[in-house]
Amino acid sequence: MSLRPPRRLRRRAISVAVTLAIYLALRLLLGRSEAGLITPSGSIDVGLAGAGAVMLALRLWALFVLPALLAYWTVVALLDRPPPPPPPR
Amino acid sequence: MRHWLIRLVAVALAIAVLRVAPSWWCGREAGAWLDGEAATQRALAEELVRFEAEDDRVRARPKADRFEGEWALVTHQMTALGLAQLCLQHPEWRARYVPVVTKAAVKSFAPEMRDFGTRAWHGEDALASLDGPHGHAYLAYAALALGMARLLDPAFPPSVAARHDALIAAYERRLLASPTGLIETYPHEAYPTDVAAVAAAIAVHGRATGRDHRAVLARWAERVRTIQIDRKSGLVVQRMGALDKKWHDAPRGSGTGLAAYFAGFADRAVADQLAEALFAHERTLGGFGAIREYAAGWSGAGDVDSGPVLLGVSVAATGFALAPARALGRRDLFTRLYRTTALFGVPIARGDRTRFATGGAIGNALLLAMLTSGPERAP
Repeated sequence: MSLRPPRRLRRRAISVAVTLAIYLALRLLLGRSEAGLITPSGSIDVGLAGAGAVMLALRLWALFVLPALLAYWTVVALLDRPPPPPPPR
Repeated sequence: MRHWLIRLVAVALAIAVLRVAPSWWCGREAGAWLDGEAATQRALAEELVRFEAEDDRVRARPKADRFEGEWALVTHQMTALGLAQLCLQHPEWRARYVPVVTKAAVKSFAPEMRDFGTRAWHGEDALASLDGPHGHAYLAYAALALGMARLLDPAFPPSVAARHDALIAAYERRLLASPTGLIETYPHEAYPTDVAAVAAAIAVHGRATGRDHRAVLARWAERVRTIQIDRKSGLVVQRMGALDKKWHDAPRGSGTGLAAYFAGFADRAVADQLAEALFAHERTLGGFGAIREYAAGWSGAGDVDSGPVLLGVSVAATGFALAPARALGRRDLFTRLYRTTALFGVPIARGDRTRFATGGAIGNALLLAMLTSGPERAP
């Protein structure tokens, strides 16, 4: 019996980790910027605003979608297992 | 059958998590802000102290690099107000923050900060035309900051105090002469919110100098109630004619929110009336709250006053509503509004400082003033 998680679970874990890493990197980038999403002159810095929009979208995903998905996946993984094979006679 | 039952349980749990987890996560700091927890307040205050120190360094460089204009004026003003409110709440912090309050307030009063107003008045500078009839109400933002600095700083520069006295005297004369209780910000444009800042500046000047401004403040309060508030929604009209009372814009949440904060310095009853109208325009979803920008029957896009308007609610109206919600101790409302602010403002802690990543310096300054509102209110 293999202890490695199924391939589907590994793919999910990797995609979640990569998305979270991108979110945290963008959050860090914006956290270092003095201007925020809108520059002091009132005009829009397109690059920064784009990064900010992506970061906010990923933040919504991380705060709303991901916890709900984790709850769903956990319940399914714990309860929806194939029945154990019958004991050998 | 069992397979589908398990999926149903999983979906129910996912919905429960969706309802609880994001609002809990975003609202973790709400109680600390509402209760005036020192460490939370100090972390944002220190970020603005750092910003002012960095701004001092930049101002020593060539002019092109400087942070100037309307947004800079408001950033320095709100930094001064926020730190001043903290000094009123924590007198033991005065030694560290009062010099920064004075420095930020004096910066907001610099000629280059009000260039936008001078240009709008075709080259007429607000301080060079104090005997004139033009309102120049935008400079009340700086005048209010100067008043708070004078209230706290025994070493406030006398030369600046003299110019501040002269500006307040001009505002008082103009306001008493106005039949609508409005004075113009720009030619033919009066903003009740800016005039609330004028009233706040006059009131705080009275507290700092002992001069009696009760007559003008009572007159302003009466005119706000009878002329500047939309009877149906209770919100203040965003822009009006100072003489003919004609509406140039809708009753709006962003103007009302900031007016409620400013009115708190001058007249608690007016402030509370505006606050209740503002709170009645809250929209909630999943534990998050936000304030509608336009009164019922009106609609529009976002602008420089409101920031982005999404699904009818605005960034500015929601942020400004934090101040009266805190000042009036409306815990549930404050918590819902704070969750939304944290969700989109993205607070980030770095060492002993905190900043809201998406708002930049002006967002941090505004939020410091709004999240610490209360001690500044009129007695």
